[in-house]
Parts: sequence; structure tokens; C-alpha cells
Amino acid sequence: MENLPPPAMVARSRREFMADVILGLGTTLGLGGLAFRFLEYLYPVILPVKLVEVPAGNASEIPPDGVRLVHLPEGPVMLEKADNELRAVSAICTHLGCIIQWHPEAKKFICPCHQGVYDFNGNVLSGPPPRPLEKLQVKVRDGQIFVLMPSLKEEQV
Amino acid sequence: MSRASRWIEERVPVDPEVLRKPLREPLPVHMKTWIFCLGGTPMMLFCVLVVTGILLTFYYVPYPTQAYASVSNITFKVRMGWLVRGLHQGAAQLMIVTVLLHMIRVFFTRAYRKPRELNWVLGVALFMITLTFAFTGYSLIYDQLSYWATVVGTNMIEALPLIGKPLLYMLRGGPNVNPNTLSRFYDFHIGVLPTMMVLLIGAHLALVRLHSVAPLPGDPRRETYPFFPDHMLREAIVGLLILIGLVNYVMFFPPTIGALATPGNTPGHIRPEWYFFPTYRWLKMTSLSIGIGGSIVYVTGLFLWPFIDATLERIAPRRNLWLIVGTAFFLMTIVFMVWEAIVG
Repeated sequence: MENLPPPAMVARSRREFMADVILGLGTTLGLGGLAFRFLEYLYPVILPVKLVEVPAGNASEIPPDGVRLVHLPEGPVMLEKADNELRAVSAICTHLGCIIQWHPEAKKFICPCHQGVYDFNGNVLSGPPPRPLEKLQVKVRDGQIFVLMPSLKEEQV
Repeated sequence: MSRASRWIEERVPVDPEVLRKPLREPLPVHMKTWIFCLGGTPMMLFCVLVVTGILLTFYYVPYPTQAYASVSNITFKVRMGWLVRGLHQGAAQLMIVTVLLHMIRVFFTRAYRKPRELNWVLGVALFMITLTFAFTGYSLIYDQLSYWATVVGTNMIEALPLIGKPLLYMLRGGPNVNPNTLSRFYDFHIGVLPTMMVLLIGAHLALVRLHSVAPLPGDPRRETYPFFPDHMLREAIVGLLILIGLVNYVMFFPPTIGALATPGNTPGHIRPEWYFFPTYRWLKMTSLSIGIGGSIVYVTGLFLWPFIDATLERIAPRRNLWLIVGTAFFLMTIVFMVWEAIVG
């Protein structure tokens, strides 16, 4: 068992092996780092959310126990009047983002996309929505309605 | 040898025999039926889509305020625009049909089994790319269906665990659907996806050739016939018939355009194109997490099918579990699709 010839694999010197490792690591880290920068380039600049008071028409225009859909620049909102109190919920379905519709005869909100059904208070009655409709703060000043919503004014980069 | 061909051979030193060899590839005789031409048809349709797609980019503008008008111009004002857009739309629909038929053929002949599992995986990847092409394609028109499909489709991504939100922002180019979204979808549609498609089609074909065509279970014949000219001719006939059919279809049913996208109003009756009906039906039936989770399981199962088949075979040899499980999923998909088509 002595004086066996060394296997062919060990023909490389330690120096050559180290050179290969450094070359391999360097290439991987370098190209990987660049790829990461490219991903960063693609990731959008997300501006901080700022709540703003959005004017939403006259309080007298909403009939008692009635619902009105208003299209605000910041998004669609359902204004409701119950027991003379004004409330606002987002009109965006919590399932996959379509705009719900008010069905006065059934007193329900129904989403046309995947048939999510909500009651007057925005709670889920049936269908796939995971959460109730988002409640929004609403203020009335001098008969004018203001809804507190995240601003979309800043332009997307 | 003519002077011209000698001139070329001196400058491009390739042995013509090397080029001819892949053309003469021997194919098993069971392929001499029309059903085995299905794999070539999506590739021919892809060529139609590349040509018509490049033509469409000459007039299309990927910006929300101009996209709809530019598609409308292509459809109604540009000379032969209706033909180019109609062919693009028709070829896209047919491509999905032929990819599905090809998959069904491969499935029921069990051609995906060892050692060809990876080519099935590549094939499913090509199918997914085809669907993403279709989805980004109809998003570009910027009519009501485009806009709401984009909203719903991207929101589905948000429901993914952990990576959902960053991936959503990445795809939309912002937290909401905005002008960046349209540029990104356009970029995917004309840049990223075509590149992936060409690379994967290349790998798919290379693997078919390296393994040679899968034997047909239960067919004892060992005779072969050459790819060129026999099989090529058959593929060419299918391709020409499809093209004739497509041009005639577009002449009788020229493309139209839906109502302009209005981000403030989701129309009452809205649903995706037919190939998304099964997913759409499933999403309506289940909660959001089961809806998304179920879809992920389904797609993963499709990718891993050859390995699932092998496992089923090990558990109960000769019971044909693959046929039972596969047919059950196949029928479920068809039932969901037809259900959605009828009930709406």
C-alpha cells in the first residue's frame, strides 16, 4: 500500500486553488451586488402617507338613511346618513380592490367583481372579503363634508 | 460546388452535414398523426405574435391618458390596423388553446415520465409565461376590463405571504395602480416575457431532441421517419390552415374596443377572459387566503406533476392513480370554466 501515485485530482497546487476561490467569490459577489442594485432601481420610491381633509360635497345632499357614492381625487367613498349622523366608508372592496355598489332595495353593498356583500355598516355579510370596509373619519363644517384620507397629491416617482 | 457556396464555406467554416443532421432526426411512426403536431403550433403562433406585436408598437403609446386612444386609432384609423390587432388578439387566444391541447396530449400519453420530467417543468413554465403574456396584453388596451383586471390581478399578489407587499409595489411601480404600472406591464409584455419565452422554447426543444421523442405507451412499432421533410410538411400544413382560419376570422369579426377605463367605477358585469374563468370562479367561492393558497397549490402541483405521478406509482403500482388524480383535476378545471361561462 505504499508509494501509490497521487490521484490526478490533486494536480492543482494550493496557490491555484486559492486563486480559483477568490476569482469565483469575487465574480459572484460582484455580479450579485450589481443585480441587487438593479432590483433596488426597480423598487419604487414610496412617499410617506399624509392624511388630508378632502371636501366631499354638502351634508344636506345626503338623504336621511341614504347612501351616496362620491368620487374624490383620493379615491371613492360611500357617505351614509343614519340617525342623522354622517359616516364614511371607503368604497374599495377589501377582497381585491374593486369598487362596491350600493343596492338600496336590499340595503347592501355588493362588489361586482367577486360578489362580496357588506351591510350598511360595512361589515361582511357573505362572499370572499377578508375584512369590513375601511371606516373613514368625516367632519362637517358649515354644512360642508370633509373626509380624512391619505393624500395622493404628491406625484408618483 | 459552385463558386458562391465555396465563398461562403470559406468564410463560415461549418460542415453542412452538421446543419443537416438535426433536420433528419428520426421520429417514431406514432407521430404520424395530426395530434402530434400540437407542440409546434404554439411556436408558429408565437411567430405571428412577434411580427404583429412589433407592428403594434409602431402606434401604441403606453401611457394612461394615451393608451386607449392609440389602440382605438390602431383599430379604426390606421390602414390595416384592424387586421394587425385582430391577428395579434386571435393568435394570442389560439396560442392558449393550442398550448392547453399540447399539454393534454402530453399528459394522457404520459410523455413527461423519467427522464423527461424537466421538460414538463419547462413546458409548464412556458404555459405560465403565455398566461402572463395574455394578462399583460389585455391590460395594455386600457379599457374597463384592462384596468380592473390590473387592479384585481395585482391585488392578488399582495395576498401572498411575506413577499406580497414588496412584490406588489415592484410590479405596480408604486402603492397604487399608476402610470408606472402601465409602463411596467408594457415592458414585461414586449421585453422581459419575449426574452424568457425564446430562451425557454430553445431549452424545451433542445431537451426534446436530446432525449428524442417519448415512446408511446403500448405501441410496439420501432420504425422511424425523418423530421424533414415528412413531419415538417405536416406542421407547415397545420400552420398554414391556422393562418388562413385566423385571417378569415379577423375579416368577419374585426377587433373592437370596450369602454375607456374609469378608475372611479367598476362596471356591473365584469369578468376576465375565458382562460382565467377557473381561477375567477374559485376566488368567488372561497375566502381570500384559501383562494390564493389554493391557486398556489394548483400551480405547484402542475409544475411537479411528473414527480407526483412517480410517487403515486410507487404507492400503488399498476393502479393507474395518475389517471384518476389527473382526470379529476382536469375535470374540475373544465367544470369551473364552463360553470363560470354559463352562470357568469
